[in-house]
Formats: sequence, structure tokens, C-alpha cells
Amino acid sequence: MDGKQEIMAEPSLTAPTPAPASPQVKTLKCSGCGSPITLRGMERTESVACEACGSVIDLTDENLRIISTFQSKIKHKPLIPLGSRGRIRGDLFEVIGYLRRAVTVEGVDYEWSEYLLFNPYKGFRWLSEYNGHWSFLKTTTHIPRKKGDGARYLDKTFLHFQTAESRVVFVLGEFYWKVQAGETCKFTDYISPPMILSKEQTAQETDWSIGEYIEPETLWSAFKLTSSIPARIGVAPNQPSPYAGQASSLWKLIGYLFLAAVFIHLAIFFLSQNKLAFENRFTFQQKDKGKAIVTEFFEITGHPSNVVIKTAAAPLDNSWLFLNMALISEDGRAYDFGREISYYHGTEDGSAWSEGNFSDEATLPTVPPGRYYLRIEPESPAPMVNYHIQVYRDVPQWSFFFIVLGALCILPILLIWRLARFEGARWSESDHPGTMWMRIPDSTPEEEEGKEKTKGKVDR
Amino acid sequence: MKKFIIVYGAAVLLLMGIAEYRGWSLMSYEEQKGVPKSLRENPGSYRSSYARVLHK
Repeated sequence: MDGKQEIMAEPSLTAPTPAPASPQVKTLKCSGCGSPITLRGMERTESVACEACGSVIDLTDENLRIISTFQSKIKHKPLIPLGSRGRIRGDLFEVIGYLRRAVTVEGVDYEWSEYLLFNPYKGFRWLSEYNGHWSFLKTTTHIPRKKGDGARYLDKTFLHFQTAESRVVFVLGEFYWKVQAGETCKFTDYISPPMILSKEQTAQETDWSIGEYIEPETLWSAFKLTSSIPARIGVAPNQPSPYAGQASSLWKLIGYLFLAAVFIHLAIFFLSQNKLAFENRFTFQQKDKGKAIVTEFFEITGHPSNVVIKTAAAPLDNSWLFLNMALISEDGRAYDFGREISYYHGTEDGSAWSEGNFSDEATLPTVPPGRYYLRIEPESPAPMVNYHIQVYRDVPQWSFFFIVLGALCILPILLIWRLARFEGARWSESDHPGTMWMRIPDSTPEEEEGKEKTKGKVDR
Repeated sequence: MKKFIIVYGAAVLLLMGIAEYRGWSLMSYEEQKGVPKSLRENPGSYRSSYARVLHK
């Protein structure tokens, strides 16, 4: 069972338990300012923060003593109001507490919100929100194992993402511990999107929690919120990549496109006429210089397609033959082109060299069927050159096939680039920016057991 | 992304199919119309634009 299944399909979670028909609440007066405070935690909470004055009251003390006071000038308003009830993963939870944590990295403060949820049969859960990204968390059922600098939990390898020290900067509502203003803890996040494994360490205890990325739309619908959903900024550590899930199907699709290209090309290749329409041998002599000749008519058949004129010339010894040619139809349409055949050779610094060759191939595109002849006007400095001309109809071409293969190669490049950009954005806020390709989990479980002494954080 | 790949791939394959079927070519040539039938009797009366431009 993987971590996702634990969150989504743990037996105790999949069988929804009956929730109280109406919230069971109790009220008391704030010891600090006298404002009424509503208690929803059914005596399973130890402290409550007054919304009016920021005093945190010890609920285990019979005199309701104030244990700390939050003097924050900014009054944070929870996006999901306290007392809201919503069904998540099949169970009804009520928001009973809200706190803001902050971490300072390179002199910059980063804040996020945590919502404490309560169900009398299930206990406590957390919703964590950062930059519009949400995760639904619960305490782990057993201690994750260490795996290099990552962790192993429920047969899943989690990569180390970040270790930092957080502090509580604002609280509202009830909590199952005596929350203190400025309370700090060292936290370490490990990820295996959409799961996140979080370790929180204080001097007294170590808590592990497992969470799953949750779409904000799901929460807004669950809690029936009418406010607008805050826009998501950046990429969350455990946000599932929109491409990773599709990657295999996209690779398959790209593979099919390559296969289709081969199939189409081969189909056209084998269906092509590749038919010799005309062939003849000619001789150029200097006395013929400037004189043009015409061939007899020949038939070009089939659908409009290419016509390939293949020419071979000999002898060409450090010389050239230029042929001004025109393929002219019976009705007076002319395709006018010029081709040069040249061959040069010699010796330079003791080594032989040569360039050019004795043949040439010209392709005229989309020539309609009909009766045609060639007009040929040869030029050459050689005293005499023999040349051979062949005209082929509907000759299969490889050039477009290779161009298309190149064009299709853009797709995997684009896919890899988008995957890399998303992962780059994810890891840019981690302790390992720019190393996402090296941080691929392997499936070999590490046998080293976690030795921390843990204490259940929420399963009370 | 999937839609883009399908549309792009289909367009590229379609273009390849048309190009290969119609025998497209990247070769440069000039097309002229209205060449008189008398050219066969007097081939020198036709002047190739390629001859003048490329090999004068």
C-alpha cells in the first residue's frame, strides 16, 4: 500500500463514520478580554486562542490561565472559517484551529497556513496551505525509515526537500497542545508527489505526518465556500506534475506518430509509379555550342506528381557540362531549369583530391500528366561530352520523410523541456535547487530504521 | 499537451503525405506558359532564363 492509499483508502477512512448531526460546541469567556470563545474540540483540546485579543488560554487549567499572547499587528483571516464543516476523503471534519507558521531563509520570511480539523471518531487532521497550494495531512501510523538523505514509508521512497526551523506567528481557535507565541520547531519535508512526508522536531518530541496534495476546488466544494479560490503561485513541493501522469501516454502517442510517419511514407513509396518515361543519349561537341535540341514527345501519366530528370555525363576531366533544360508540355507549359555536372581532380601537397561527380538528379514538383518533350541546350568548355538523360515519373522521395522525423522529434524535446521546467520550479525552493534529475528515487528499500523517539501528534 | 501533440502530429503527417503524394520538391525552377508549338521546329527561339542568369 502506498502513501496515497493510506490517505485515501486506509480502512478506517474509507468507511465513513457518522458525524455529529450538529456541531457540539461549548462556550467560555476569554480570560484576557472577556470575549466569548467557542470550543469545538469536545474536550480533546488543550489550548484555545481568542480571536479578539490573541490570548492563548490553557484549557487544562481550571482557572483558564493565559499561557501566551499573540501581539500580531496583522490579523490573519482563515480562508476556511473556523467552524466550517466539510467532507474530505469521505469523512466529515470541522475546522477548529488555524495557525500561521513562518520560516526565514536567507533573510526572507515565508509564511504558510495550517488548519486543524477534527472529527470525534477520526481525531485530528491538518490542511496546509502555501501560495494557494493545499495538502491534507495526518500523523503516520509508524515511523518512516531513513533512506540516504530521504525516507522510506509504505514502500515508497521520499526525497528530501527541505529542512528549516519554523515559528508560530499567529493562532486562532483550538489546539491539542499548549501552543506558544513564537514556538519553534525544526521541520524536514520529504516528497514523493502527490505525497509529502513531514517530520517536526522539538526538544521534547518528533512527529511524523503524511500528506497528500489536494486540489483547492475539492476543498471549496467540500466546505461549500463561496469565496473565490486564491490563485496558485509557483509549484508546491508535492504538487503532482501535470505531465508526469501523462508522460507514458504522451510518449506512446509520439511513438504512434513516428510509426504513422513510417507507414505513410512506405505506403506512398510502394504505391509510387517510379516509371521511366524517357531515356536517350546525346553528344555535345564544340561545333554545337549555342544550339538547342528537342526530344521526341513522351507520355507522363498518373496524378500530378514529381518528374525526376537524371543526367550522367562523360568524359569530364577537370571540366563541366551545363544543361539548360526545359520540360515542355504539348499545351505550351514549360518547366525551365539548369543543371551543372562537373568533375575536378588533382594533387596538392602530395595528396590527391577530387570534387564533383559525373551525374545529377533534378526533381520537378507536381507536374500534371500529359505529353511532354525536353528542350536541351548544352554548354561546356570540353571538346566533346557524352551525356545520358533519363526522365522518371512519380519517384518516391526520402527528403520529406526525414524532415518529418525531425519535426516529430520536436515533440519529445518539448515534453522533456516542460517536464524539466515544472520540476525545476518545484525544486527551486528546496535545499537542492537545480538537482532534480539527480533526485530520482530508486526502489531498493533501505533497511536502516528510523531511531527517533516519536510521539503521536494527532492520534489521540 | 496531448491535444497539441495530436494536432501538431496530424498536421505534420498530413503535410508529409501531401508533399510525397504530390511530389513536392525544393528545387528552384521557372514555370512559363504559352510556349509556341513552333519551338519544336526552331528550338533556338526559346531562351532559358537559367542560361542567362547562371551561365552567361
